Amino acid sequence: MEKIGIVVDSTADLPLSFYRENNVKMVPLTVRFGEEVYKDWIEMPPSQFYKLLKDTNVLPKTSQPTVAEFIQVYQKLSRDFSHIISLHLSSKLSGTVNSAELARKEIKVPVTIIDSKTVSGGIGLILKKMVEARDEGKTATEIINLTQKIIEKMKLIACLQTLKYLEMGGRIGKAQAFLGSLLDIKPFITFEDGIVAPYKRVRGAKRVLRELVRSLKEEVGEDRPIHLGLAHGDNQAQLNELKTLIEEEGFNCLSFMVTEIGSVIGTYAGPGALAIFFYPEE
Amino acid sequence: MPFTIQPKDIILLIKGGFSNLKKHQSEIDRLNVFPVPDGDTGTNMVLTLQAILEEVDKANSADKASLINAIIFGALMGARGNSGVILSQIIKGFCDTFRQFDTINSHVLIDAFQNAVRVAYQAVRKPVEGTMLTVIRDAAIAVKNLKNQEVLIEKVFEVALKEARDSLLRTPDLLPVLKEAGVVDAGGFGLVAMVEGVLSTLKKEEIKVMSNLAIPKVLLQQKEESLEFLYCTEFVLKGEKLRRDDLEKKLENKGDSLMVVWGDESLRVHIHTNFPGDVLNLATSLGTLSQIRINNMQEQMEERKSKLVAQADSGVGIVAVANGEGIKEVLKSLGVQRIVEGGQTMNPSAQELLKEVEGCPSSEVIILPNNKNIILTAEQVKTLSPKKVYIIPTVNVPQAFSALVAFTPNRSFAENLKEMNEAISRVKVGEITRAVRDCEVNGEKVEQGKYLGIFNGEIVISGNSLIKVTSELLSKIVSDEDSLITFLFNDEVSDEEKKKIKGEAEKKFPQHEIEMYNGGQPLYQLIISVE
Repeated sequence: MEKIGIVVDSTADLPLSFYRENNVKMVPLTVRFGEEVYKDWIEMPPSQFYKLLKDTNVLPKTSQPTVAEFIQVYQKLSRDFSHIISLHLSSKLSGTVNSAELARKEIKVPVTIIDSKTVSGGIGLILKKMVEARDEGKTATEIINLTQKIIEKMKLIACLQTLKYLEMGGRIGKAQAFLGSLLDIKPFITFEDGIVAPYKRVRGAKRVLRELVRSLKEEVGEDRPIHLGLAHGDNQAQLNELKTLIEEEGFNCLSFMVTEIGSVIGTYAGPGALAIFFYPEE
Repeated sequence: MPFTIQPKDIILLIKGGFSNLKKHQSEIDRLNVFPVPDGDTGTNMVLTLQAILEEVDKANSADKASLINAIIFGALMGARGNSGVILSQIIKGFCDTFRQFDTINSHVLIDAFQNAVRVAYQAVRKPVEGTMLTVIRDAAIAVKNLKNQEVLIEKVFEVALKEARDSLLRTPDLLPVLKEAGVVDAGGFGLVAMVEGVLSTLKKEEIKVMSNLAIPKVLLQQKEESLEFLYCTEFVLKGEKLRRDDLEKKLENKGDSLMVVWGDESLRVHIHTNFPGDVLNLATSLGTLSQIRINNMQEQMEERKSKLVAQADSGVGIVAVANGEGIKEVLKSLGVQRIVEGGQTMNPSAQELLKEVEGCPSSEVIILPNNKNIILTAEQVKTLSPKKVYIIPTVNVPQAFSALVAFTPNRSFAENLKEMNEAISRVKVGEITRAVRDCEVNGEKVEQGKYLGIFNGEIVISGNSLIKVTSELLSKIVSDEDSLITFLFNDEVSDEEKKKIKGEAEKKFPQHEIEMYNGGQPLYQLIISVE
């Protein structure tokens, strides 16, 4: 019988306990403040990251896991598993998929690398479905097909406090069009084919939440069953408000999760970000 | 972190440079205005490196000598275009130095930089500053300063990259054609991208993508330029007793951009000429030819121009009518490309609007009239212009702000129009001005100079105090459903008045957000929008 091992990177932005409890191997990216290098989530939980970001005023840098790290993880898993599926953040934003691809060639058992074309809660939602499918005894091919389908349907709407971090981090993509406004504007961004794209602009911090819910409603339509994830970067208060507004609006959620945006994704989203991830069930 | 590089690492570094160069390929193509704006610099550089990597794949990478030979051979055989040839010579210069040492440490690397400059300059008949040559030379000079220290390999590349970037930014100062086009040198850009790639490979860090240094929009307006020489002609010449300077002298008067460079027992020739046949005849008399390529540069240029036009066409032009410096600045920051001076007291003509509509590079243009008396004039432009012209019937500036905020570049045009039209209906606008003469408002006498509060085009309040009139006007406009109040003030409002107006509004509407901007508009002390 097939035994399937699941690997993901830290930008799924799930707490470490999730990986332990669900038998998923997580490979961390790293975040660097000046000379200090930390493993995303493992050595640098989100709360500490946003504090450091505020206190040090240093623009952190991020790095993909090395090929060697992936080789090590895959090799170890190849003793117990007959097929490894490795899910990672958008290859347009990071070389992680690249590292994994290079490592794959050194492994005896089949390793399938999947480019999620998204980040954070988006990967989290996909990963949850993969774990479910594995636990139901689905084959590797089935799991891979299922995952690809979700990736095609996955949507992201995020409201950032500023585009500064995306810009300085060189990940601004098409959202560049939103730069430079003299009015105080909250940019909403989305992902198009794995890169950042502009979604809409909103004036006034207080209207942000209502606009997020309105956007979600427009995207989802009436009563369509969805899987929904919310994430925030050091913005618990607004996230709670957003959650309440979404509950009041009454979406048909088949699954729901709330996560924090970790240090690597937070390096580009900046503090105060709010994000909605969702995909419709067929 | 290495103090030395092993021969096999050279391949990795070239690959690193290659992959980052490839990322920027199309960007570099677009920058290409010198020596001929044929938009292939990026492609040529990529193909040159690709040829090297192909040769390297065939070679025995464990043996340093055969590896280096493969790189030089690949560079010579694969070099394309001006930029490709210079690049191949830079690489040859590096390799010639590497060949002489068993281990490559920082000292050897620094020497290699110097040699690369020497070889590259030798390859070009008339070196032009403000090109790739300048960039590599400046980088080489910068790393020379590390010569007496024991440093990491990556330190050398770090210093080289920093100087190369600075040098790149200086290229428009050295080469007027770049400055005119508003771009940096394409080949120099390519070189910087390669060094970035090498460094990121060494440091095992993700590449920080170089931001757009400049996109040559100017090229679109550039007048038709005729090419002095029509054909880019390239070939490799093999033969016994070939002499480089000999061939150079013979070809010199056949055209320009001449380059003759040595490889292993063969010469690579590049020239822009009107008589490629003559050039080839001459060469055949000296040896055997291979890899002959002749391109019509006029064709290349036109192809590229149509590509550029198509690119600009994907955007939408926005023209707005406005006066007041602050307001104009805000409009521009929100994506308005062209502004027609005008407003309440000065309505622009259809002609003036048409001029700016035609001035937008895009074929679809949106007009924001920002005054009810200008909407009709704007409608006229629709029939006057061959472009698709759409009017969003904004009757004031805050509506224009809302319409622009609702505009998202990557949405369809129809969707944008719908969103913009919806947005303008959501904003309520009040204005405060002074009575220009004695008059009567709602049966009450108002003396000249008193403040008038206007809402929905009607005077609803008057008084002597700007602060009081503002506060009462707000009460008539603001409701609980609103959340944002924006004040646009002009120079007639004192700092103290601004502070008081804001304070009053905050006290009265604690649930609302309040923003203040300097609009600089004439006649109206305040324009207030509530949404």
